[in-house]
Amino acid sequence: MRTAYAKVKGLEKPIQSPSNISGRLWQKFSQSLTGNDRFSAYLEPVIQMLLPAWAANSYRAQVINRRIENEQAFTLVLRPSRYWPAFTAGQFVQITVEVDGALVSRVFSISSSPQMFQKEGLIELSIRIQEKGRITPWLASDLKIRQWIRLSAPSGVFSIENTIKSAAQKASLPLQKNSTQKDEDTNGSAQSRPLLFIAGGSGITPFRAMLHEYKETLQVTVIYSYRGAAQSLFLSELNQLKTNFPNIKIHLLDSSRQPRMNASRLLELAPEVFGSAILLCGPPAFMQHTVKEILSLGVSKDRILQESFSSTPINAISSHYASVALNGRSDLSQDNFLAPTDERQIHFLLSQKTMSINSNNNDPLLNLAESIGLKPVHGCRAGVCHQCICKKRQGRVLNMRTQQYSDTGPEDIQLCISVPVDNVALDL
Amino acid sequence: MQNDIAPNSNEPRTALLQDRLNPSSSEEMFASFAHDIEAVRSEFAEKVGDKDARYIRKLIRIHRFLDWGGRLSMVLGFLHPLFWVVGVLSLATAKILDNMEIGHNIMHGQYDWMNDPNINSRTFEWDNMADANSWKRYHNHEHHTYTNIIGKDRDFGYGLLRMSDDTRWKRKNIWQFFTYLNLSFWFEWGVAYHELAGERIFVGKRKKASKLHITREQLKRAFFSKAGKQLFKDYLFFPLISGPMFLAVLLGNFIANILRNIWTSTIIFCGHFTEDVYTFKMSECENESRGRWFYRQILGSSNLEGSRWFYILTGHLSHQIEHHLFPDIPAHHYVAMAPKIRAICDRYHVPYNSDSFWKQYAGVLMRIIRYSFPTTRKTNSLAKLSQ
Repeated sequence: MRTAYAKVKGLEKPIQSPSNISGRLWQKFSQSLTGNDRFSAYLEPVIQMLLPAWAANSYRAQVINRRIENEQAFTLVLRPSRYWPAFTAGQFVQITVEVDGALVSRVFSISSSPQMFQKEGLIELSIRIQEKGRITPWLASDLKIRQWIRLSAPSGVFSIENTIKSAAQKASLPLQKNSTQKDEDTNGSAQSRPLLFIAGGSGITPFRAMLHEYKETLQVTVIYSYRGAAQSLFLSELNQLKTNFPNIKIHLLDSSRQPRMNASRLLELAPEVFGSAILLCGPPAFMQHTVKEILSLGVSKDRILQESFSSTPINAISSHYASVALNGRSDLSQDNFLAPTDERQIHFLLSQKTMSINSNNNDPLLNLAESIGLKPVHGCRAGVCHQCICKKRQGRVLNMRTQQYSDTGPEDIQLCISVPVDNVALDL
Repeated sequence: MQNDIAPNSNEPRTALLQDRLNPSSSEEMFASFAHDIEAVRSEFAEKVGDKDARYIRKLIRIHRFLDWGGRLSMVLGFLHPLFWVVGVLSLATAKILDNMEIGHNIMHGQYDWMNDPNINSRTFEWDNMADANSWKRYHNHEHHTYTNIIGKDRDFGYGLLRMSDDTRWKRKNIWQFFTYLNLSFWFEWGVAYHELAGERIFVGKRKKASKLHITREQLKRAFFSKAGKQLFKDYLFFPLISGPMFLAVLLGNFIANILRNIWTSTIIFCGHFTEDVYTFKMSECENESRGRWFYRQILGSSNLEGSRWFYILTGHLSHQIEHHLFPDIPAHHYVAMAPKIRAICDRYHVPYNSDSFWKQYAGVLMRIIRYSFPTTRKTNSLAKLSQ
């Protein structure tokens, strides 16, 4: 369960001015005639009469089914519209739904395989219901079967292909030379270098896609850690894979019954850890802990590829690791996955600055930005004039005027009356 | 102190008005006044949702059909002139909808909560000479924050018209009725230039680096770029692709723009320049409490009464009072808010200025004519009433 964070590119078709001249002229032409950068944006509400949830800057998909996984999790089966680009196992998408008139976006790993998409035209997103979340309970109960929703292009570099590539490049292993044979690269190299998947909680979703895609060929050990069966996903499916495919070793660890995984336990479950390419996905606390344990064994950090579920941008936690996708957890839960509460980090993405503030600092974001030398456009400083509107990428803010908390996902906020209550990332 | 309140008021001596003359007395009363107004806000803010999203999308769809339908119909004028007439009226209506109920309200941020990239105060651009960003900068900030404060709210008379005794009479005011007619006719240009000129002054005067988030050059570029696009659309592109109907379409587009100008100008004048609207001094608005701010917004605005379609065509600026109290609540709620605000005003004896369109408009014309001539403050200021 995650929210797009920051420079996850490709989720929305770019709104920035096109780079080539004809593109710019066309944009000017559209602006002249319609006031919109694109004719499609101008016609959007009309096109939506025929094609529900159609959007100029996004693809769309129809909800085909909602399958219950357990009490707290379900899988959405979606049929993306034509022209939706192909994806690799491990990538994520952003879905956008209209909840009481407001568009809300969330990012989820695709939990089904590219093969399934090729054969049936379907993808699956497996989602855990966040009790106090705004969206996941809605998706679980209010989203209608056959309804159309907005769907982004697939994005992210968390994949087996990338592990091999980056490991090969960084460690300058001979694997690099295989790059001319792409198919070999995936299967052949995976065999020559064993894989270790380490998943925590709903972080199993991208691995499910990989396991289904490459189950016949992959030499892999999976360590799946979860807190109680209710917090897990796909247990029976994983057991089935384990029995049917001897090349897939799976260790299920219920952390509510046994101690947290540590270096020696890791060595015991996956003695090949030194030679493996390691893929890691889960909540930040879990990831931080696991990375620390792996490094304590003397494994090179270049070998680790991670995908985070976080309210803290992952690059803030571990920018020196080979972190690849900047994802975030979206709905707040009672888990202890959240960043420490006495300090908040504000990330100003465009100016590439970060500041830490104390949690009892109630200054609005406009003042905070100014205090570190940024000069956001602003006007009345009272929430009236809407000049200081800024795109918030992630994190919750409290609107001082309405005393309402924002959503955790991307949306526009007024800087002058918004006080951060989480770690917040802004397009500023 | 005695001239705090603008003239031409025959209002009764009311609790809050008296308080204005004795400002130290009842901050509590203003606080409770503010509380009651805020209660109306929260009541309606809670209702904002799905219905509003459907409403604005529906209006946008209507706009698209009227816009392109009108342009097409104008070309068909060669079959029968009636097509041309219908086309012009349809295009004018489209422009009015775009500028008022759709553009003005979206640019106030009334629909920002929808999180829709195209229905959004940050990105919306309207079918009007004024560049959206320049307009937002001026209108949303200065006019809405400093409503009817002489010297701060440049919308009060637009620097062209003398609308109260706060401005000294000059000889040019003698023909200001014609200035007004001229302004109405070319209103979109007036608005575009108004925002630009104001910002020039704004930028020219200010030296604090923190306020300089836009340069004169950028402002000028925004102005010329927007005007260029509008001229290209209405007076070059669409006439050209109409071939032999070039002149007819050119003329039709011109008329549609002028009709829109007259309509918007008239409605806006009725919102702030009716007979009983008050003006304020900078000095009395310093450190203004929330209650006093609401109070000033109410006294500085006036409402028009009419039918539903009339309200929509005015962009619900028919409910200027509610709009100034709650500029970011979707405007079509104002109709239901009005009686509640009125009841609060009655309770606190605050004048609530609402009447039929024709009566209010007559008041505007009267006001323009009255202040064409030298008048003095003594004749009808509230100070006299309070003695």
